[in-house]
Amino acid sequence: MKMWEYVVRRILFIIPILIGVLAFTFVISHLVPGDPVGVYLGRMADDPIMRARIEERYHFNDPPLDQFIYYLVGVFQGDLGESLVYRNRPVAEIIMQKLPATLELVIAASIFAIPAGIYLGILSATKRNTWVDAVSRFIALIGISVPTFFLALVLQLALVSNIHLFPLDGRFPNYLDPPATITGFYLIDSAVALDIRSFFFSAYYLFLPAFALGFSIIGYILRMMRSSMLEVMSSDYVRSARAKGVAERQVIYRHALKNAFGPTLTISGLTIGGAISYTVFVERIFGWPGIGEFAVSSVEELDYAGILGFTIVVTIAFLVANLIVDILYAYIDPQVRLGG
Amino acid sequence: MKESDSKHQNAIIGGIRGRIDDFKSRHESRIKETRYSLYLFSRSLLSMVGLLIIFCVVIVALIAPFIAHDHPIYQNVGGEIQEFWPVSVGSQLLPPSEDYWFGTDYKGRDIYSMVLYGAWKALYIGMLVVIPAAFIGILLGALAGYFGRALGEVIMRITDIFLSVPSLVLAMAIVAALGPSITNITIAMIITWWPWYTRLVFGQVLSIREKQFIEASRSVGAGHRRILFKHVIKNSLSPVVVQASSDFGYVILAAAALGWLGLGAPPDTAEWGRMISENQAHVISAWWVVTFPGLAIVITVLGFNLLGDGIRDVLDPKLRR
Amino acid sequence: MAEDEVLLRIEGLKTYFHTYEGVVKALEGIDIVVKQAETMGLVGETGCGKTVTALSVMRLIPSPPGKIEAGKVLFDEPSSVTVLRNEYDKKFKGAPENLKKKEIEKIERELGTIKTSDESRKKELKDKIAALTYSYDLLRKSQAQLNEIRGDSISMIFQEPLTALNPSYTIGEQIGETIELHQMEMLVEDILEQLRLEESTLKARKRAELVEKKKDAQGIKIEGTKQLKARRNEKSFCSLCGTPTRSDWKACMGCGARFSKLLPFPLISIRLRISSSYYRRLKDNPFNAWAAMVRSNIFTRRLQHRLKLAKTMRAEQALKEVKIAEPQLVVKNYPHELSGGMRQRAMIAMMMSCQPDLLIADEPTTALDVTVEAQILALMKELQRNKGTSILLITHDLGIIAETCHRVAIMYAGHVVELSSTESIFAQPMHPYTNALLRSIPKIGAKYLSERKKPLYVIPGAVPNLINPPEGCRFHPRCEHVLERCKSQVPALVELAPGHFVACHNPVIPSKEGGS
Repeated sequence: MKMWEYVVRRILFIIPILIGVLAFTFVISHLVPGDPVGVYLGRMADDPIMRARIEERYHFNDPPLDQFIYYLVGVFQGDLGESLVYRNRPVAEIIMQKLPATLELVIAASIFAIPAGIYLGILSATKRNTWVDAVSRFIALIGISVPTFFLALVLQLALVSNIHLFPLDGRFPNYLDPPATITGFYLIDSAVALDIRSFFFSAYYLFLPAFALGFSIIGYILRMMRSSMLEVMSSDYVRSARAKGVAERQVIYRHALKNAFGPTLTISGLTIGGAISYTVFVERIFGWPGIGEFAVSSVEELDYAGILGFTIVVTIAFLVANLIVDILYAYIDPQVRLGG
Repeated sequence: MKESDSKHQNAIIGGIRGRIDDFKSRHESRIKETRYSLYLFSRSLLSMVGLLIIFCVVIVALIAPFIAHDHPIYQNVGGEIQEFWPVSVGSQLLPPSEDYWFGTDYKGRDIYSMVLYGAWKALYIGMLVVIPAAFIGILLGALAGYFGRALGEVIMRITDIFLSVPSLVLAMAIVAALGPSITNITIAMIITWWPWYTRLVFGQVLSIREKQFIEASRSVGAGHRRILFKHVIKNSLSPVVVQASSDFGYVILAAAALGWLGLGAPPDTAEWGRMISENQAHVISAWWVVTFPGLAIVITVLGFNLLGDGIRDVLDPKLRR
Repeated sequence: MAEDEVLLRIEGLKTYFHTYEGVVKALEGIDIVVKQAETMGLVGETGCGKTVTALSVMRLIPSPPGKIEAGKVLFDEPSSVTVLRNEYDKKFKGAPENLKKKEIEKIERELGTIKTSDESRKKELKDKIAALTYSYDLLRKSQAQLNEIRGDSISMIFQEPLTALNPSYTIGEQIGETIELHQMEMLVEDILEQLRLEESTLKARKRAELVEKKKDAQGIKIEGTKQLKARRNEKSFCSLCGTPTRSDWKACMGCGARFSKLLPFPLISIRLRISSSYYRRLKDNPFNAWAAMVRSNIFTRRLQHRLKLAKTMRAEQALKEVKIAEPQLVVKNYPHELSGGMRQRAMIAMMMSCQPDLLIADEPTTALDVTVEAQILALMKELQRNKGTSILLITHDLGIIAETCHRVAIMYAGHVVELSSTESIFAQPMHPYTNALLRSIPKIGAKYLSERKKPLYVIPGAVPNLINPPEGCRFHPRCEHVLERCKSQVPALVELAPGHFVACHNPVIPSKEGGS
């Protein structure tokens, strides 16, 4: 019973937070700068025809509270404005179309980075001061110190232009037809259609961008896992387990890990959020047609509708990811579950 | 009256000495702890390397105009002084050589000099973001934790709102609304960063508040303000310091990212992120245009991360001794 | 083994900690002997090395700073081997390693050629090998051997029960783990027994049905299924625990298992047969690769249910032995849901569940309040009486020692300074430290007013820093009876009265002093 209550409560929580975020973006874009209409027009801020159109469209002539209501209602109905970059196509539609590509990238990167980070973190903590520890810490340190866009560029330089080991950009060879769209995830679509060639190509094009993204986030997970494992390994109950005669392997995986996992789980929620934001860099450099790339284009044109749409979608994704993390956390930590 | 003069002098010196001794004995344990902390820090090779790196970067940033080969010109653009690197048509995309240590970019400018000038901007943004953000964060977190109930709820809800958007994306949206400039990215990043400190301090304060020495202070009549500043905040500072020292690195990284997106310095300025984004189209034929500014970012951030790690290892009570 | 046999013999144990500030010489060659079914107290101030001793015996010393530098910890060594070992030590003292090796090889060769019927000679030779190779020395055992001994032959309970229990697992799971590690055969037996019970129940039901069918064939009115079930009301049993239940109940009262739909007989019997064959295979070889594979395979995991139930049953039994009320409920609780006293009992249950020969108790009651403390001590005394467990009780409270221990060892700054029976210690404390300790206990009801008015005796000085301990006897800076020798020569532990050992150059010869 308590589990369900917890889950429902958390889901309901998302709504006020979302409204809060929207309120903030509203304030920032509509009230703070001198020229709110100009914000939406970006570089065409001075064109009077455009101005009139925007004023009409976004109700700039109404009192502020009304504007906010229009804004909120609009968002909840899926109206995120029109994009300057794409000739007035609705932003919502653009994002929906490009979202699967980004999700595929983020999920691929997470599937690679999170388990690897956890495993290396445990290894690093249990084999402290050996070469394994040193290498893991080195990887983590580099991962968090290198800007994602630089890493992507370096990878391109090293593995693409000189050696031609990986494709330069895009999601799929442009002389072929991509797999039929069922989910939007090329890997899944081609697997379902039993199209081995498409599957191979999808994976081939996915590899390098996912690696770049994954490498940027693996460091955070590794370090958090390492530090909480170190803390747990010196705790009393680990000593009790050894005193019972439990083999070292079980001590690490059954006793220590169960308690050390909490903070890492929390941090994975955050790193997935980070990964979603880093797609902005990876997609642009690897020509990956996702919402990150759309965001960069919107920023170049200062198309606020596009940027805002991107922000909202990312926020929702981040909140959902954190929700899942919180539920998993309640699942593994009995003290949270029983309210102990 | 020489004798009384010298006696007077001796009395003063004696008084000063007495005060110093007094100070020493009162703070004896704290002095010992500090010395131990410094010792621990110096024992870690990596932390010392981090310190060294930062030291070098700071020096480079400060003496950039003196060791650079080329210099920008300063123009007055709409009331503000702006840095501008003039285009040099003849020397575009030259590889690293005797004259151009890091090569030239697609507008023919000396990358080495631009990288040097960019250092100060990076450090400057770092300081200007982390310190105010920490300040605001600590204040709000302490208020929320100490006074609790309504005020605490409100503050923490607001904090939650800010924490539910990934930092980079939020900063992007804010700068896009305010207009691209270095000032605006600084403001945007302060707004993005303070919630982390608030949450950190909130947790600390909650646990300190229950401790008995707070109760003891109240019972001898200390007012809220005194307790708040003297006891609560002082004792919750240690994780904040650890976080802040690592955050310097992350802020510089984020600033470079925003610069890369075009939201920071205007074009033709020496800002590391900007330099990379302007030249990345040419990277395949000219590997140096992107590598050197990128390495500059990596080394600086690495230095701060090592320093942050070292400080954490020293201050974290569980890892001491 | 005879009552007076030695169970644990610590000889010359040296444990140092290599820290930033220097090498902490925590234990400097201590000697302690614990006999069968006896409670040995280990007393001393904080920092004197009691806990380090216990951890050294269990080899739980954290290895980066700590290291057991020297010594022998002989567990369960038969007296015959002890005698031989001492002889060999004297014989080979100072001799190079290979002389000993040659001797070992010689004996092994002899062992190989001997007739299998000559048992006593074989035993003699084996004892000799054990004596030469120190095979009973815990400090030389491999990690695998240690893990077998820990929890099974030697157990340890700790001071703070909340942190010593894993907060993510229930009490039942934690106790069950100990049992699973060391007494798997017993568990499997339980399960096979249960399976046999179920098989016979199944057969009984089959027979009952057949009888029903026969009745039909004879033309008696066939009852509808509903009524048939109602009949079964009276004699249905839960197939897991055998508690009688009614067929319209959803779950079992005894073991909480949920009832699935009544399966046709063939399926139930197949299930039973699979389980039986699995557990019979398990009986011979509980820990091999095949068993591990079954354990982790997601399809066969269902088979583990019975094991889990068996463990829970045994865990409940263990809790009952430590007198916890309602063990079937406590078994499902997490450590943070229990009170301090209950937690300590749970930890005792966990560590005693495999009937260890030696229980090391490191200040088990220091974190508890006095009433609970009394209960725990009584419990430990009873356990010792019933199971013959020896206890090494570490404490700083002389009162507890007086109540519960047969013999006492007093430690100071890494040395054992006095070792004797409890009565002896209180009647004739010969070491100046012990003497001073006992004198500093406030006494109620002193006869003369002049005695009442005397100030409380306090040992001057403070416990020494173990990085740079005093030369010679470590107590000499604070000792009232100090001699010149004490400053340079470390006193050895000498038997000054029968069973009473003292390490002092100038002990307090028994007089009318001191009372208990």
